[in-house]
Amino acid sequence: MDLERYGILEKFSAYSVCVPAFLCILKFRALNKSLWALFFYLLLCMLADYLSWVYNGSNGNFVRNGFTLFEFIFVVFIYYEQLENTKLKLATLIVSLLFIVSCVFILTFQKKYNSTDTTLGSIESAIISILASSYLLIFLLDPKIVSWSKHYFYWINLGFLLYFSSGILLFLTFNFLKTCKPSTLYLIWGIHLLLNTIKNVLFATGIWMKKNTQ
Amino acid sequence: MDEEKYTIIIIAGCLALIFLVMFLYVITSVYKSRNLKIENKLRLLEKQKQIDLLTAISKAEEKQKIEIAGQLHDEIIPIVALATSNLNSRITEFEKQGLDLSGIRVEIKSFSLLQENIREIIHKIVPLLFTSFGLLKAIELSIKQMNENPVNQGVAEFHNNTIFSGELPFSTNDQLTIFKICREVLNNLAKHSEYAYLKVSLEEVKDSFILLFLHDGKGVTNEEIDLLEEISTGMGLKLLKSRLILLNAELIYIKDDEVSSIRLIVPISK
Repeated sequence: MDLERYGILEKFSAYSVCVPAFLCILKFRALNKSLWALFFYLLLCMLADYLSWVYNGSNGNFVRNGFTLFEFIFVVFIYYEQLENTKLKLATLIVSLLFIVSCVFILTFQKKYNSTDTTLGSIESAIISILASSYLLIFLLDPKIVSWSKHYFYWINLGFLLYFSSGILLFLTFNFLKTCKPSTLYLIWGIHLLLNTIKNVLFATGIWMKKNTQ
Repeated sequence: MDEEKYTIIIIAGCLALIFLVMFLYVITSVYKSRNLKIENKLRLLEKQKQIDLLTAISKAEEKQKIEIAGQLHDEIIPIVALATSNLNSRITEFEKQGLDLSGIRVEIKSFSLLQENIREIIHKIVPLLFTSFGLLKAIELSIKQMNENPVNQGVAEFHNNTIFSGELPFSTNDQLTIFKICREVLNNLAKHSEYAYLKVSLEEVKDSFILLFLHDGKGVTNEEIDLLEEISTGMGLKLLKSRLILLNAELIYIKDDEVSSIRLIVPISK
Protein backbone atom coordinates (compact mmCIF):
# COMPACT_ATOMS: atom_id res chain seq x y z
CA MET A 1 0.00 0.00 0.00
CA ASP A 2 1.38 3.42 -0.89
CA LEU A 3 1.36 6.53 1.27
CA GLU A 4 -1.40 8.21 -0.72
CA ARG A 5 -3.88 5.34 -0.24
CA TYR A 6 -2.86 5.00 3.40
CA GLY A 7 -3.46 8.73 3.89
CA ILE A 8 -6.98 8.43 2.44
CA LEU A 9 -7.71 5.44 4.67
CA GLU A 10 -6.32 7.28 7.70
CA LYS A 11 -8.56 10.29 7.04
CA PHE A 12 -11.56 8.06 6.38
CA SER A 13 -10.93 6.20 9.64
CA ALA A 14 -10.48 9.42 11.61
CA TYR A 15 -13.63 11.04 10.22
CA SER A 16 -15.74 7.88 10.58
CA VAL A 17 -15.85 8.50 14.32
CA CYS A 18 -18.07 11.52 13.63
CA VAL A 19 -20.95 9.28 12.47
CA PRO A 20 -21.66 7.50 15.79
CA ALA A 21 -20.86 10.70 17.72
CA PHE A 22 -23.41 12.63 15.64
CA LEU A 23 -25.99 9.86 16.17
CA CYS A 24 -25.37 10.08 19.93
CA ILE A 25 -26.25 13.77 19.79
CA LEU A 26 -29.29 13.04 17.63
CA LYS A 27 -30.58 10.33 19.96
CA PHE A 28 -29.39 11.86 23.24
CA ARG A 29 -32.75 11.16 24.92
CA ALA A 30 -32.27 7.44 24.42
CA LEU A 31 -28.73 7.34 25.79
CA ASN A 32 -28.08 5.36 28.95
CA LYS A 33 -24.90 5.49 31.06
CA SER A 34 -23.10 3.06 28.72
CA LEU A 35 -23.93 5.10 25.64
CA TRP A 36 -22.94 8.36 27.32
CA ALA A 37 -19.60 6.71 28.11
CA LEU A 38 -19.40 5.59 24.48
CA PHE A 39 -20.11 9.16 23.37
CA PHE A 40 -17.26 10.52 25.53
CA TYR A 41 -15.04 7.72 24.26
CA LEU A 42 -15.78 8.81 20.69
CA LEU A 43 -14.94 12.40 21.63
CA LEU A 44 -11.69 11.09 23.14
CA CYS A 45 -10.92 9.32 19.83
CA MET A 46 -11.44 12.60 17.97
CA LEU A 47 -9.20 14.45 20.43
CA ALA A 48 -6.52 11.74 20.20
CA ASP A 49 -6.56 11.88 16.41
CA TYR A 50 -6.25 15.67 16.51
CA LEU A 51 -3.43 15.61 19.08
CA SER A 52 -1.58 12.87 17.15
CA TRP A 53 -1.71 15.13 14.12
CA VAL A 54 -0.49 18.16 16.15
CA TYR A 55 2.20 16.29 18.12
CA ASN A 56 3.53 14.20 15.28
CA GLY A 57 6.78 12.40 15.98
CA SER A 58 8.20 11.41 19.36
CA ASN A 59 5.58 13.44 21.27
CA GLY A 60 2.97 11.25 19.60
CA ASN A 61 3.87 8.48 22.08
CA PHE A 62 2.70 10.66 24.94
CA VAL A 63 -0.68 11.09 23.24
CA ARG A 64 -0.89 7.37 22.36
CA ASN A 65 -0.07 6.21 25.90
CA GLY A 66 -2.54 8.64 27.44
CA PHE A 67 -5.18 7.56 24.96
CA THR A 68 -4.61 3.88 25.84
CA LEU A 69 -5.24 4.60 29.53
CA PHE A 70 -8.39 6.71 29.02
CA GLU A 71 -9.73 4.44 26.28
CA PHE A 72 -9.45 1.53 28.68
CA ILE A 73 -11.29 3.42 31.44
CA PHE A 74 -14.18 4.37 29.14
CA VAL A 75 -14.56 0.94 27.52
CA VAL A 76 -14.40 -0.89 30.84
CA PHE A 77 -17.00 1.51 32.26
CA ILE A 78 -19.29 0.69 29.28
CA TYR A 79 -19.01 -3.05 29.99
CA TYR A 80 -19.26 -2.55 33.75
CA GLU A 81 -22.61 -0.83 33.17
CA GLN A 82 -23.79 -3.57 30.82
CA LEU A 83 -22.91 -6.48 33.09
CA GLU A 84 -25.60 -7.58 35.55
CA ASN A 85 -23.76 -10.36 37.34
CA THR A 86 -22.20 -9.01 40.58
CA LYS A 87 -19.26 -11.44 40.54
CA LEU A 88 -18.38 -10.55 36.96
CA LYS A 89 -18.66 -6.86 37.80
CA LEU A 90 -16.32 -7.29 40.75
CA ALA A 91 -13.82 -9.26 38.66
CA THR A 92 -13.93 -6.56 35.96
CA LEU A 93 -13.39 -3.88 38.57
CA ILE A 94 -10.40 -5.64 40.16
CA VAL A 95 -8.69 -6.39 36.82
CA SER A 96 -9.32 -2.85 35.62
CA LEU A 97 -7.94 -1.26 38.78
CA LEU A 98 -4.85 -3.45 38.56
CA PHE A 99 -4.34 -2.42 34.95
CA ILE A 100 -4.92 1.28 35.64
CA VAL A 101 -2.54 1.29 38.62
CA SER A 102 0.18 -0.51 36.63
CA CYS A 103 -0.42 1.81 33.71
CA VAL A 104 -0.06 4.92 35.88
CA PHE A 105 3.01 3.41 37.56
CA ILE A 106 4.72 2.56 34.27
CA LEU A 107 3.85 5.83 32.58
CA THR A 108 4.65 8.19 35.46
CA PHE A 109 7.03 6.60 37.97
CA GLN A 110 9.04 4.74 35.37
CA LYS A 111 8.82 7.89 33.20
CA LYS A 112 7.82 5.92 30.12
CA TYR A 113 5.01 8.28 29.19
CA ASN A 114 6.85 9.43 26.11
CA SER A 115 8.26 6.11 25.00
CA THR A 116 6.75 3.47 22.74
CA ASP A 117 4.96 0.94 24.90
CA THR A 118 3.52 -2.12 23.23
CA THR A 119 2.75 -4.12 26.37
CA LEU A 120 0.08 -1.79 27.75
CA GLY A 121 -1.78 -1.60 24.43
CA SER A 122 -1.68 -5.38 24.05
CA ILE A 123 -2.88 -6.04 27.60
CA GLU A 124 -5.61 -3.44 27.17
CA SER A 125 -6.75 -5.13 23.94
CA ALA A 126 -6.64 -8.55 25.57
CA ILE A 127 -8.72 -7.45 28.58
CA ILE A 128 -11.32 -5.74 26.39
CA SER A 129 -11.45 -8.74 24.02
CA ILE A 130 -12.10 -11.04 27.01
CA LEU A 131 -14.80 -8.66 28.25
CA ALA A 132 -16.43 -8.54 24.81
CA SER A 133 -16.29 -12.34 24.47
CA SER A 134 -17.82 -12.73 27.95
CA TYR A 135 -20.58 -10.36 26.98
CA LEU A 136 -21.19 -12.40 23.84
CA LEU A 137 -21.58 -15.50 26.01
CA ILE A 138 -23.95 -13.68 28.37
CA PHE A 139 -25.85 -12.44 25.35
CA LEU A 140 -26.10 -16.00 24.07
CA LEU A 141 -27.44 -17.36 27.33
CA ASP A 142 -29.68 -14.46 28.37
CA PRO A 143 -33.29 -15.48 27.71
CA LYS A 144 -34.45 -11.87 28.15
CA ILE A 145 -32.69 -10.86 24.93
CA VAL A 146 -35.07 -12.21 22.33
CA SER A 147 -34.58 -10.10 19.25
CA TRP A 148 -30.79 -10.22 19.07
CA SER A 149 -30.30 -8.18 15.91
CA LYS A 150 -32.39 -5.34 17.31
CA HIS A 151 -30.45 -5.20 20.57
CA TYR A 152 -28.22 -2.14 20.45
CA PHE A 153 -25.29 -3.59 22.39
CA TYR A 154 -25.05 -6.59 20.05
CA TRP A 155 -23.59 -4.27 17.40
CA ILE A 156 -21.46 -2.21 19.77
CA ASN A 157 -19.96 -5.39 21.27
CA LEU A 158 -19.18 -6.70 17.78
CA GLY A 159 -17.37 -3.41 17.06
CA PHE A 160 -15.23 -3.69 20.19
CA LEU A 161 -14.53 -7.40 19.67
CA LEU A 162 -13.42 -6.96 16.06
CA TYR A 163 -11.26 -3.93 16.77
CA PHE A 164 -9.53 -5.07 19.94
CA SER A 165 -9.05 -8.78 19.10
CA SER A 166 -7.11 -7.89 15.97
CA GLY A 167 -5.46 -5.07 17.93
CA ILE A 168 -3.73 -7.53 20.29
CA LEU A 169 -1.60 -8.86 17.48
CA LEU A 170 -0.87 -5.45 15.99
CA PHE A 171 0.15 -3.87 19.31
CA LEU A 172 2.33 -6.89 20.18
CA THR A 173 4.21 -6.56 16.93
CA PHE A 174 4.37 -2.78 17.02
CA ASN A 175 8.17 -2.73 17.49
CA PHE A 176 8.60 -5.00 14.51
CA LEU A 177 6.23 -2.88 12.43
CA LYS A 178 8.36 0.20 13.08
CA THR A 179 11.32 -1.52 11.44
CA CYS A 180 9.34 -2.66 8.39
CA LYS A 181 9.31 -1.15 4.94
CA PRO A 182 6.76 1.69 4.69
CA SER A 183 4.61 -0.32 2.27
CA THR A 184 4.36 -3.22 4.76
CA LEU A 185 3.67 -0.85 7.64
CA TYR A 186 0.93 0.89 5.65
CA LEU A 187 -0.61 -2.42 4.67
CA ILE A 188 -0.77 -3.83 8.19
CA TRP A 189 -1.74 -0.57 9.83
CA GLY A 190 -4.27 -0.11 7.03
CA ILE A 191 -6.09 -3.23 8.29
CA HIS A 192 -6.25 -1.61 11.72
CA LEU A 193 -7.67 1.61 10.23
CA LEU A 194 -10.20 -0.37 8.23
CA LEU A 195 -11.28 -2.19 11.36
CA ASN A 196 -11.55 1.14 13.17
CA THR A 197 -13.90 2.36 10.43
CA ILE A 198 -15.97 -0.85 10.65
CA LYS A 199 -16.05 -0.45 14.44
CA ASN A 200 -17.46 3.08 14.07
CA VAL A 201 -20.07 1.89 11.57
CA LEU A 202 -21.10 -0.86 14.02
CA PHE A 203 -21.27 1.70 16.84
CA ALA A 204 -23.48 3.88 14.67
CA THR A 205 -25.76 0.88 13.96
CA GLY A 206 -25.99 0.10 17.68
CA ILE A 207 -26.78 3.70 18.64
CA TRP A 208 -29.39 3.86 15.88
CA MET A 209 -31.00 0.67 17.25
CA LYS A 210 -31.25 2.07 20.76
CA LYS A 211 -34.80 2.75 21.77
CA ASN A 212 -35.90 4.80 24.77
CA THR A 213 -37.23 1.72 26.54
CA GLN A 214 -34.44 -0.72 25.72
CA MET B 1 12.49 -12.63 3.74
CA ASP B 2 12.00 -12.47 7.49
CA GLU B 3 9.99 -9.29 7.18
CA GLU B 4 7.83 -10.82 4.50
CA LYS B 5 7.26 -13.92 6.59
CA TYR B 6 6.35 -11.87 9.66
CA THR B 7 4.06 -9.66 7.62
CA ILE B 8 2.20 -12.67 6.30
CA ILE B 9 1.93 -14.12 9.81
CA ILE B 10 0.60 -10.84 11.19
CA ILE B 11 -1.94 -10.39 8.40
CA ALA B 12 -2.99 -14.04 8.59
CA GLY B 13 -3.28 -13.75 12.39
CA CYS B 14 -5.41 -10.62 12.08
CA LEU B 15 -7.64 -12.22 9.48
CA ALA B 16 -7.92 -15.38 11.57
CA LEU B 17 -8.98 -13.35 14.58
CA ILE B 18 -11.52 -11.39 12.51
CA PHE B 19 -12.81 -14.67 11.09
CA LEU B 20 -13.05 -16.15 14.59
CA VAL B 21 -15.02 -13.16 15.87
CA MET B 22 -17.37 -13.28 12.90
CA PHE B 23 -17.76 -17.04 13.30
CA LEU B 24 -18.62 -16.62 16.99
CA TYR B 25 -21.16 -13.96 16.12
CA VAL B 26 -22.74 -16.08 13.40
CA ILE B 27 -22.95 -19.06 15.77
CA THR B 28 -24.55 -16.84 18.44
CA SER B 29 -27.05 -15.42 15.98
CA VAL B 30 -28.00 -18.84 14.61
CA TYR B 31 -28.37 -20.26 18.12
CA LYS B 32 -30.50 -17.29 19.22
CA SER B 33 -32.67 -17.49 16.11
CA ARG B 34 -33.23 -21.21 16.59
CA ASN B 35 -34.16 -20.68 20.25
CA LEU B 36 -36.49 -17.88 19.26
CA LYS B 37 -38.23 -20.09 16.71
CA ILE B 38 -38.70 -22.88 19.27
CA GLU B 39 -39.99 -20.41 21.87
CA ASN B 40 -42.41 -18.87 19.39
CA LYS B 41 -43.67 -22.31 18.39
CA LEU B 42 -44.19 -23.27 22.03
CA ARG B 43 -45.94 -19.97 22.76
CA LEU B 44 -48.20 -20.48 19.74
CA LEU B 45 -49.03 -24.03 20.84
CA GLU B 46 -49.79 -22.81 24.35
CA LYS B 47 -52.02 -20.06 22.99
CA GLN B 48 -53.79 -22.50 20.67
CA LYS B 49 -54.33 -24.84 23.60
CA GLN B 50 -55.86 -22.00 25.64
CA ILE B 51 -58.08 -20.98 22.72
CA ASP B 52 -59.21 -24.59 22.22
CA LEU B 53 -60.00 -24.90 25.91
CA LEU B 54 -61.88 -21.60 25.97
CA THR B 55 -63.77 -22.51 22.81
CA ALA B 56 -64.75 -25.89 24.26
CA ILE B 57 -65.90 -24.28 27.53
CA SER B 58 -67.86 -21.56 25.71
CA LYS B 59 -69.48 -24.09 23.37
CA ALA B 60 -70.44 -26.32 26.31
CA GLU B 61 -71.85 -23.31 28.19
CA GLU B 62 -73.86 -22.13 25.17
CA LYS B 63 -75.16 -25.65 24.57
CA GLN B 64 -76.15 -25.99 28.22
CA LYS B 65 -77.90 -22.61 28.17
CA ILE B 66 -79.88 -23.58 25.06
CA GLU B 67 -80.78 -26.91 26.66
CA ILE B 68 -81.96 -25.15 29.82
CA ALA B 69 -83.98 -22.71 27.71
CA GLY B 70 -85.51 -25.64 25.79
CA GLN B 71 -86.38 -27.49 28.97
CA LEU B 72 -87.91 -24.37 30.49
CA HIS B 73 -89.93 -23.78 27.35
CA ASP B 74 -91.02 -27.38 26.71
CA GLU B 75 -91.34 -28.76 30.22
CA ILE B 76 -91.68 -26.12 32.92
CA ILE B 77 -93.99 -23.63 31.18
CA PRO B 78 -96.59 -26.34 30.23
CA ILE B 79 -96.55 -27.67 33.81
CA VAL B 80 -97.10 -24.19 35.25
CA ALA B 81 -99.77 -23.42 32.61
CA LEU B 82 -101.57 -26.72 33.28
CA ALA B 83 -101.40 -26.24 37.04
CA THR B 84 -102.83 -22.70 36.69
CA SER B 85 -105.65 -23.93 34.46
CA ASN B 86 -106.51 -26.85 36.79
CA LEU B 87 -106.46 -24.62 39.85
CA ASN B 88 -108.73 -22.11 38.09
CA SER B 89 -111.25 -24.89 37.20
CA ARG B 90 -111.20 -26.24 40.75
CA ILE B 91 -111.68 -22.76 42.21
CA THR B 92 -114.64 -22.20 39.84
CA GLU B 93 -116.17 -25.51 41.07
CA PHE B 94 -115.65 -24.49 44.72
CA GLU B 95 -117.10 -21.04 44.05
CA LYS B 96 -120.24 -22.69 42.59
CA GLN B 97 -120.62 -24.46 45.93
CA GLY B 98 -120.70 -21.02 47.59
CA LEU B 99 -117.12 -20.77 48.84
CA ASP B 100 -115.28 -17.44 48.56
CA LEU B 101 -111.85 -18.19 47.06
CA SER B 102 -111.17 -14.77 45.52
CA GLY B 103 -107.98 -14.48 47.63
CA ILE B 104 -106.59 -17.67 46.13
CA ARG B 105 -107.59 -16.52 42.60
CA VAL B 106 -105.44 -13.39 43.12
CA GLU B 107 -102.54 -15.59 44.22
CA ILE B 108 -102.96 -17.71 41.08
CA LYS B 109 -102.24 -14.62 38.98
CA SER B 110 -98.68 -14.82 40.23
CA PHE B 111 -98.41 -18.11 38.32
CA SER B 112 -99.05 -16.20 35.10
CA LEU B 113 -96.34 -13.77 36.15
CA LEU B 114 -94.02 -16.74 36.74
CA GLN B 115 -94.71 -17.98 33.19
CA GLU B 116 -93.89 -14.53 31.80
CA ASN B 117 -90.65 -14.41 33.78
CA ILE B 118 -89.60 -17.84 32.54
CA ARG B 119 -90.33 -16.71 28.94
CA GLU B 120 -88.20 -13.62 29.46
CA ILE B 121 -85.32 -15.78 30.72
CA ILE B 122 -85.67 -18.04 27.68
CA HIS B 123 -85.59 -15.04 25.33
CA LYS B 124 -82.48 -13.71 26.99
CA ILE B 125 -80.76 -17.02 26.29
CA VAL B 126 -82.24 -17.52 22.82
CA PRO B 127 -83.54 -14.15 21.60
CA LEU B 128 -87.09 -14.22 20.30
CA LEU B 129 -86.18 -12.07 17.31
CA PHE B 130 -83.51 -14.54 16.30
CA THR B 131 -85.64 -17.67 16.69
CA SER B 132 -88.58 -16.06 14.90
CA PHE B 133 -86.88 -14.29 12.00
CA GLY B 134 -83.29 -15.55 11.61
CA LEU B 135 -80.03 -13.59 11.89
CA LEU B 136 -80.34 -10.88 9.23
CA LYS B 137 -83.93 -9.95 9.95
CA ALA B 138 -83.19 -10.07 13.70
CA ILE B 139 -80.36 -7.55 13.25
CA GLU B 140 -82.62 -5.33 11.15
CA LEU B 141 -85.41 -5.49 13.72
CA SER B 142 -82.99 -4.86 16.59
CA ILE B 143 -81.92 -1.66 14.83
CA LYS B 144 -85.57 -0.71 14.29
CA GLN B 145 -86.22 -1.27 18.00
CA MET B 146 -83.24 0.98 18.80
CA ASN B 147 -84.75 3.76 16.65
CA GLU B 148 -88.10 3.37 18.41
CA ASN B 149 -86.51 3.54 21.85
CA PRO B 150 -87.06 7.13 23.13
CA VAL B 151 -83.78 6.99 25.09
CA ASN B 152 -81.84 6.80 21.82
CA GLN B 153 -81.63 10.21 20.14
CA GLY B 154 -79.82 9.04 17.01
CA VAL B 155 -80.99 7.34 13.83
CA ALA B 156 -79.75 3.91 12.82
CA GLU B 157 -80.00 2.16 9.44
CA PHE B 158 -79.27 -1.33 8.19
CA HIS B 159 -78.00 -2.20 4.70
CA ASN B 160 -77.39 -5.67 3.37
CA ASN B 161 -74.74 -5.40 0.63
CA THR B 162 -74.38 -9.14 0.15
CA ILE B 163 -76.22 -11.79 -1.80
CA PHE B 164 -77.32 -13.38 1.47
CA SER B 165 -80.98 -13.06 2.35
CA GLY B 166 -82.15 -16.06 4.34
CA GLU B 167 -79.60 -18.88 4.07
CA LEU B 168 -76.29 -18.07 5.72
CA PRO B 169 -73.10 -20.15 5.58
CA PHE B 170 -73.04 -20.62 9.37
CA SER B 171 -74.54 -23.11 11.79
CA THR B 172 -77.54 -21.92 13.87
CA ASN B 173 -75.33 -21.73 16.97
CA ASP B 174 -72.76 -19.60 15.15
CA GLN B 175 -75.51 -17.34 13.83
CA LEU B 176 -76.83 -16.96 17.37
CA THR B 177 -73.32 -16.03 18.56
CA ILE B 178 -73.03 -13.46 15.72
CA PHE B 179 -76.39 -12.01 16.72
CA LYS B 180 -75.33 -11.78 20.38
CA ILE B 181 -72.08 -10.00 19.40
CA CYS B 182 -74.04 -7.65 17.15
CA ARG B 183 -76.56 -6.89 19.90
CA GLU B 184 -73.76 -6.24 22.41
CA VAL B 185 -72.03 -3.85 19.99
CA LEU B 186 -75.32 -2.05 19.29
CA ASN B 187 -76.01 -1.74 23.03
CA ASN B 188 -72.53 -0.36 23.66
CA LEU B 189 -72.92 2.15 20.82
CA ALA B 190 -76.32 3.27 22.13
CA LYS B 191 -74.96 3.62 25.67
CA HIS B 192 -71.57 5.24 25.09
CA SER B 193 -71.09 6.68 21.60
CA GLU B 194 -73.83 9.37 21.54
CA TYR B 195 -74.18 8.96 17.79
CA ALA B 196 -76.59 11.03 15.70
CA TYR B 197 -76.37 8.61 12.77
CA LEU B 198 -75.43 4.95 12.75
CA LYS B 199 -75.15 2.83 9.62
CA VAL B 200 -74.87 -0.92 9.99
CA SER B 201 -73.96 -2.66 6.78
CA LEU B 202 -73.35 -6.26 5.93
CA GLU B 203 -70.49 -6.98 3.52
CA GLU B 204 -68.90 -10.11 2.13
CA VAL B 205 -65.19 -9.76 1.41
CA LYS B 206 -62.80 -12.63 0.63
CA ASP B 207 -64.60 -15.46 2.39
CA SER B 208 -65.49 -13.28 5.34
CA PHE B 209 -68.78 -12.10 6.70
CA ILE B 210 -68.34 -8.45 7.67
CA LEU B 211 -70.65 -6.29 9.72
CA LEU B 212 -69.61 -2.68 9.60
CA PHE B 213 -70.89 -0.20 12.19
CA LEU B 214 -70.21 3.36 10.99
CA HIS B 215 -71.22 6.21 13.28
CA ASP B 216 -70.58 9.89 13.92
CA GLY B 217 -70.37 9.58 17.70
CA LYS B 218 -67.48 9.06 20.09
CA GLY B 219 -65.17 6.36 18.78
CA VAL B 220 -62.70 4.08 20.51
CA THR B 221 -59.52 2.35 19.45
CA ASN B 222 -58.55 -1.30 19.88
CA GLU B 223 -56.03 -0.28 22.55
CA GLU B 224 -58.70 1.61 24.51
CA ILE B 225 -61.03 -1.40 24.34
CA ASP B 226 -58.26 -3.71 25.57
CA LEU B 227 -57.62 -1.37 28.48
CA LEU B 228 -61.35 -1.10 29.26
CA GLU B 229 -61.64 -4.88 29.19
CA GLU B 230 -58.78 -5.14 31.68
CA ILE B 231 -60.04 -2.55 34.17
CA SER B 232 -63.77 -3.16 33.78
CA THR B 233 -65.52 -5.29 36.41
CA GLY B 234 -68.48 -5.93 34.07
CA MET B 235 -68.79 -9.07 31.97
CA GLY B 236 -69.93 -7.43 28.69
CA LEU B 237 -66.56 -6.98 27.02
CA LYS B 238 -65.20 -10.27 28.36
CA LEU B 239 -68.22 -12.16 27.02
CA LEU B 240 -67.80 -10.36 23.72
CA LYS B 241 -64.19 -11.51 23.53
CA SER B 242 -65.03 -15.13 24.33
CA ARG B 243 -67.73 -15.10 21.64
CA LEU B 244 -65.21 -13.73 19.14
CA ILE B 245 -62.81 -16.55 19.99
CA LEU B 246 -65.65 -19.01 19.55
CA LEU B 247 -66.17 -17.81 15.98
CA ASN B 248 -62.49 -17.18 15.27
CA ALA B 249 -63.70 -13.67 14.49
CA GLU B 250 -62.30 -10.22 15.23
CA LEU B 251 -63.64 -6.80 16.10
CA ILE B 252 -61.64 -3.85 14.82
CA TYR B 253 -62.30 -0.48 16.40
CA ILE B 254 -61.27 2.63 14.46
CA LYS B 255 -61.55 6.09 15.98
CA ASP B 256 -61.83 9.19 13.87
CA ASP B 257 -62.91 12.78 14.42
CA GLU B 258 -65.78 12.58 11.96
CA VAL B 259 -66.72 8.94 11.34
CA SER B 260 -65.65 6.12 13.63
CA SER B 261 -66.21 2.48 12.91
CA ILE B 262 -66.41 -1.00 14.36
CA ARG B 263 -65.79 -3.87 11.99
CA LEU B 264 -66.85 -7.39 12.89
CA ILE B 265 -65.08 -9.91 10.67
CA VAL B 266 -66.25 -13.53 10.80
CA PRO B 267 -64.43 -16.00 8.53
CA ILE B 268 -66.89 -18.08 6.54
CA SER B 269 -64.65 -21.16 6.34
CA LYS B 270 -63.54 -21.50 9.94
